[in-house]
Order: sequence, then C-alpha cells, then structure tokens
Amino acid sequence: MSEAGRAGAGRQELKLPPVGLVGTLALGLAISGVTYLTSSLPEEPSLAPAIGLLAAAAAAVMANAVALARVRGFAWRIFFIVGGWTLLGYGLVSGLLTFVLIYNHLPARQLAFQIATLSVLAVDIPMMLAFSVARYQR
Amino acid sequence: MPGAVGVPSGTVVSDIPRPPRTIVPLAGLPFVGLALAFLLFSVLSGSLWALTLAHVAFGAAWTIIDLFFGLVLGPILGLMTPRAKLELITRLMPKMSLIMPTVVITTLVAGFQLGLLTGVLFVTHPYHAWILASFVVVGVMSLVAMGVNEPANLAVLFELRKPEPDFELIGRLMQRFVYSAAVLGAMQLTTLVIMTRIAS
Repeated sequence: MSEAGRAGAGRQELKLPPVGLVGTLALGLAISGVTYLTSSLPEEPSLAPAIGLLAAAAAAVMANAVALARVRGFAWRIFFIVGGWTLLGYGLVSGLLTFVLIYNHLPARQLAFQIATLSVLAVDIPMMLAFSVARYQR
Repeated sequence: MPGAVGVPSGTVVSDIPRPPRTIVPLAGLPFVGLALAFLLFSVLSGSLWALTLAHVAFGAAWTIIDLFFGLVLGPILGLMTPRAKLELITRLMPKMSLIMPTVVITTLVAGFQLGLLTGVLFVTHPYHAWILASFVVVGVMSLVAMGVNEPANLAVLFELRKPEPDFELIGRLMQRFVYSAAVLGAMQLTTLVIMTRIAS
C-alpha cells in the first residue's frame, strides 16, 4: 500500500500526502550539498551549487509541511509528541556537529551553510519520523 | 488478525509482549552519554589513538549490526513462532533506537576529525576517490535508514503499545524493516571494501 494511499486497512480512511517520500528527497538534496562541500576540502569551492541544493531541500520540506497541515483528522497529538522527542535527540546531535565544525575553524560562509542545512533537517527528520508513527494512529 | 507476524486470530491481545512505555529504554541513556563523552574527548584531545578507536570500534559495530540484521537475523525472523517474533521485536527494537544513532554519529564525527588530522579527507590525498565513494555510500545508507528503516521500527513499536495492535500492519512494517536492513547490510560490504582500501 503506497504512502499516498490509505492509512491502514480497517481504520478510518484518511488520504495522506507522501510525507516520507518527499522528506527523503529533501534529505537527499541536503546531503548532496554537504557532500559537495566536504569533497572539496581543504579548498573553498563556490557555495552556489550547495545553496541551490539546500534551497530545493527547504522548498520540499515546506511543501511537505503545508500538505500535511491540510490533512483533517490527523493524529496531531502523537505527531507532536514523537516529533518533539525526535527534535530533542536531533538537537543534541546537531549541537555536537556544530561544535566540531566551529572547533575546526570552518570558514564563516561554510559554517553558516552547514548550520542552515542542520536547521532544514531539524524540521525534515522529526516530521518524517513523527508522520510514520502518527499516520497509523486514530 | 493474521499477517506476516503470523499471530493467530485467537490470540489474547493482553498476553502479547509490549515495548516499554517510553519506547526508548531509559537505562541505556548513560551508555549513550558515555559514548558521546568519549567522542568529545577524542575530538578535543586531538589524540589519533582515541579518534581511531572511536571510528574503528563504532564503525565496526555499525557494519556488523547491519550485516547481522540484514543477512542473519532477518531471514531467521521469518522462521520464528509468532510469540517468539513479538518477544524479539519488543525487546530488541527499543534498544536499537538508542544503539544505532549513537554508533552512527560517533563513527561519522570521529572519522571526519580523523580525516582532517591525517589529511585523508583532502583533495590532494591519493585515495580521494575512495573517500568520495564512501561519502556516497554513507549518503545512500542515511536515506534508507531515515526514509524506510527507522520509520518502520518506530511505527511497529507504537503499534504494539495499542490495546489492540493491528498484526497485519506490524507484519508489513517488519517486512519493510528487514528488507531495508538487508540493503543496508549489502551497502556495508561496500563500506568494508572502501575502508580497508584506504587503510592499507
């Protein structure tokens, strides 16, 4: 059964947007941007391709959030519980990553880009995981 | 409801094993803290030994867990009795939700730092193409893990907490989990080839 389809047989049927698929696409775009920059170390390549990839990822995440917000009867309570705890765990990890980047004296523009990437993923990853649980709840 | 989990329709739902209320086993958090503290120590000290230990030990754990799950435990899971299968899922999967993120983040951060200190990450390194290949492999593994594997794991655990779990749904999700674990296991073989090539 596709993600865009029904949210489980035998329960109240709910049309859901393909949050997991679009979220994975956004994650792939963000990872591609970071990989592009990291693969050029210690040089500083043009940020433009990475920014383009990140902008596309951010647009996908935003589209995901808008599509999900329009779903009526979704299990928002469990969505926010799972999303909140995931965000807490993600916050710890991204804090550690940011610390390591600052500790290594990453150039300011690259650091800003990496923080922006972590921020986009701070919405994307909790939304994907929370959706994967909430879609099967009443 | 019978399904891939194979629980017969007569099963008393109050009798099935359940995951902990918190999903994540809280007793495991100090071990996560210890691992991250060691990671911080290895980065701050700049000790090549500590960074190598963190990268190799946690990387080996990551590789072996994925291989074991995908190629050994997955096929066995299909042959287990429904009761044994649920017992295994409810006891193992919550622990995996702590173990895997810790193992992955420690491996990647220690590896990044090690690569910077030794120059392996730099474009001038003779094995730079192998490093790029490892980036691609890790990227694809992240997509499979975050897009398929972990969502299925979480959904199963939350479904098992319901008063009347949908066993057909659990079966479908577990199948998805095992298949994605097999993909991750196969990709880990590639990681083994790349990492041993770089180290030799």
